[in-house]
Amino acid sequence: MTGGLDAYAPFVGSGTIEELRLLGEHLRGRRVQNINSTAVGGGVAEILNRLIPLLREVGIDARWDVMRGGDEFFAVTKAIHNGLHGKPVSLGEHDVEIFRQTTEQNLRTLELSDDIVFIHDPQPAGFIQRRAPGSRWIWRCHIDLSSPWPAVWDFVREWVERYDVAVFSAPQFSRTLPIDQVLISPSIDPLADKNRELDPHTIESVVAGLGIDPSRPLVTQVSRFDRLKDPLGVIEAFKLASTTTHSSSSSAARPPTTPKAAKCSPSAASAPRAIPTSTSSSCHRPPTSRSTQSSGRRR
Amino acid sequence: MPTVARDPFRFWTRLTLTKLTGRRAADLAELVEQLRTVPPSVIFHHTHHFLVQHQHLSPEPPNDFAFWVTNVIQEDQLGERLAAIDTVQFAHLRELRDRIVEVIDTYLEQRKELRAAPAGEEFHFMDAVSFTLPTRYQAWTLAEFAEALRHVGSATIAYHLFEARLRVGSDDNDFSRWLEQELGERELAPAIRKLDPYTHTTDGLRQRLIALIEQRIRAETRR
Repeated sequence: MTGGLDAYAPFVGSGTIEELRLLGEHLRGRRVQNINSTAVGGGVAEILNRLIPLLREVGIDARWDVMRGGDEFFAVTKAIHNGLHGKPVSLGEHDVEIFRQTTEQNLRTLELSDDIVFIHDPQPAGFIQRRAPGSRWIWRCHIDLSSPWPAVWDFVREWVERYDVAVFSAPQFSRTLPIDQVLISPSIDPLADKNRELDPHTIESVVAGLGIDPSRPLVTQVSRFDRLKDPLGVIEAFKLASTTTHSSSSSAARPPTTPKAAKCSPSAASAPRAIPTSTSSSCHRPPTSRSTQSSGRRR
Repeated sequence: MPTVARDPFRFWTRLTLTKLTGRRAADLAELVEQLRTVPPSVIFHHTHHFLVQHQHLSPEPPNDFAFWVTNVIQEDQLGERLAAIDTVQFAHLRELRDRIVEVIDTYLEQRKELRAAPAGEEFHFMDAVSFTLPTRYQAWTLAEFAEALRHVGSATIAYHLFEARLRVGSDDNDFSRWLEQELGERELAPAIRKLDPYTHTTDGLRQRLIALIEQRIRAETRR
């Protein structure tokens, strides 16, 4: 991926780019710290990897820190993540202690003196206890909180209510909170590798390498292999498309051109075909804030 | 010699932060009930954000209430009535709110049963916090005005063309007022007043504005 802010002009217009620079002038020199739980893999790391250089380009003193934690901590935060998505999860005293200990350990080494601190998702949510006077703290939630498991939400809410603002990706994902809530739509980067157009040669070589007949309709999804990405739903969609479509009448019998924008093409196949899980292929749902990824470590 | 203004036109832009209000509606009765009490800025958000958002596609229907009623509640007739409200002609948001409420109330009087939105598709009321900033563009002549229009963002056009009425409570837009008062443009100003936001994209409006001004410059040059 190359290019600064101007590389986005073909997508949004040069006027919008100029407005961003104008806004940057008003915020010039402001120190903005972003903290999340992983440097590689996952939608948040993907956003920050691109956003920090762009913020710096318009004059904002932006930086990105990644919290540290052991396997036990990330097992707890994975459970919290699942609980916030509505899965019945019980957080025991030991789990809560692990969360608090790891938060304390990070707070001993992290410098938290910036004007604005963006905390992403629940893993570092407890850092709010160390806010500097006069700083503004924002909790950006990349998770759908529409129907969380109550005990888990109660645990996270305790921290969230101490922030100045909470940010959600869609109004349906938010909760009733005593603090201001704002909307930042999912940040889909048109210049990211997984969103760009693929050249025909690359498509042909990938399809041939997997032994797929390119003359038949394809169903593709690029994501990690995760319950939240609904792989079983994808197979159901595949079955549904199979029963209602005939390949001879299909005009969509070609490989998808972009992995992110993978299409759910009609298929003539009478039964779902096993696809290697390493490619995480399945039928793509409309993009949501729960961004997909093709590889990498995520917690 | 082109006419030069005493005071230049200064182009501003308006950036918006969308706030979640936590208010929602699952049917028409709840929708109209919330509409009576939400802050005017909520009405502004749901009736005006499309003007900037739809840069490449002409929106249909042009406000969120009409869209939800048509596509989620599936009350097509009411959706059409709401879509037909000329939202940008209102000088005060309370008048626009009263009109929307009146249309829904009238419809509800004839309707015995209410359809409910499917779970997860409720109407979420959102608020608009606006930040206005001066851009680096200003114009003293018609030619400079057209040139600036080529570069300013979509929000700038919406701000001066359609939001001016709400901002100053007047019945005119910023472009027409300046062209008439500063450059004496008595034909161009009314032509811009007639521009229809519902049948153009923002880029389409930009092109139309530039075309009207260039046409006027050419006519002036020939004289």
